[in-house]
Amino acid sequence: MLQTLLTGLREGLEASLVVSILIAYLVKSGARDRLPAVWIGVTAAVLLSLAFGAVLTFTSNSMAFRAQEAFGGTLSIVAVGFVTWMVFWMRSQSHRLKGDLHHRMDDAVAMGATAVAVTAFISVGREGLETALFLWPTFQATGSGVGPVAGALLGLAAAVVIGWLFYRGSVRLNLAKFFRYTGVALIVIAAGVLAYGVHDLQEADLVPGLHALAWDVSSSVSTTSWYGTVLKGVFNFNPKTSWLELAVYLCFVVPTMILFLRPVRRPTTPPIAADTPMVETQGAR
Amino acid sequence: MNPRRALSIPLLILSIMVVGCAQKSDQIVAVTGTDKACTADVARATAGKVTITFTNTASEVSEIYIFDKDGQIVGEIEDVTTGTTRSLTADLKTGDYELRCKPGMIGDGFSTTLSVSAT
Repeated sequence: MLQTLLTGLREGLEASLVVSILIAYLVKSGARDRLPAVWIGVTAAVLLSLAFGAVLTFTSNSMAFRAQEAFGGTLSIVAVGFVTWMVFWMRSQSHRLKGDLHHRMDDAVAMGATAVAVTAFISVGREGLETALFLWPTFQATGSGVGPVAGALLGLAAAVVIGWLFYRGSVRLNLAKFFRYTGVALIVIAAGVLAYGVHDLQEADLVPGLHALAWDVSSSVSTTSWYGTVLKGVFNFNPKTSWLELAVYLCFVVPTMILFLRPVRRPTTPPIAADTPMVETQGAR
Repeated sequence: MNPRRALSIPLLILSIMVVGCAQKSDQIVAVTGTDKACTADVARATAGKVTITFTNTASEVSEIYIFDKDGQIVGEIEDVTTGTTRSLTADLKTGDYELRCKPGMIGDGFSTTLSVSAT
């Protein structure tokens, strides 16, 4: 039961965190009436994953390995694209919102809500199929009792609860902190998803370097342990990280984080020269 | 663009991709992984599409790798919990393949050989 619980938790955690941030974002920006769009996205992804998972589990069809990895890898990279775009879109919105709190719901938010729904769909769908391919065989396995099934469902439920707690915590923050913290969280999650996507493409043999490892701690950090579960679930930590995965991770997370955390240009202040060090610009204010 | 319409596009792409990835094969190699061994019901197969089913009877979560003679991964099934069976299809060419089960998804695990011949 513990095995399926931890597996369920790992599979659900990241999607749950992303969705909770998206929901918190809509709530914070006064677009609560757009929440159904997110739920449509999540529900569609869950149902679709369960349906395909069932087809692959209960019929004699099975997925070709390379195609499966190529599919997972591509979807991961698409998801990262959406989440990253979302983060910067939210960043631009946050400054608009701060200046004009009463004029919240407009076309930009409506447009954003659609993008939020698509992002929710892709984030859940990416993990969904993998989860369904683990979940259905658990139901199929008779003879081991209800323990494994209960464990898997509890694990997924735990992931949802953690997402909900994250939501509760984040909506209490003031707007500036909210956008900053959730943005940083999304960038870190996205970087992990990107590295994982690259790993999938390496396994599909579409990208080389699967065996050129930056480190291999698989003998000391087991993905079946609770900490392995959290590391994998939130950061997509791979105990056998290839150099390419590491490079892609850093090349994404460092510039994105710098861009995201750079001081905001206000219309009234003169534009900051791109080559001016951050310390100096702050000192000049 | 309303959210429903916006969603239908990725939905459609996803459907096509998944359906396109699903395949049937006539050959099935049933592998069982215990705490101490990795065994297949057959030692030989014919080149072409082969479905590997992996049943984990070990006490821990397990995974199976299929390596070709050069040590390249041809297939992998991760997160197979105790008592469950999962499968994958791989296009196997002539030669010897190594089926490696890793109970606990750690260490070297145990392996068995699958010989694939032309006919």
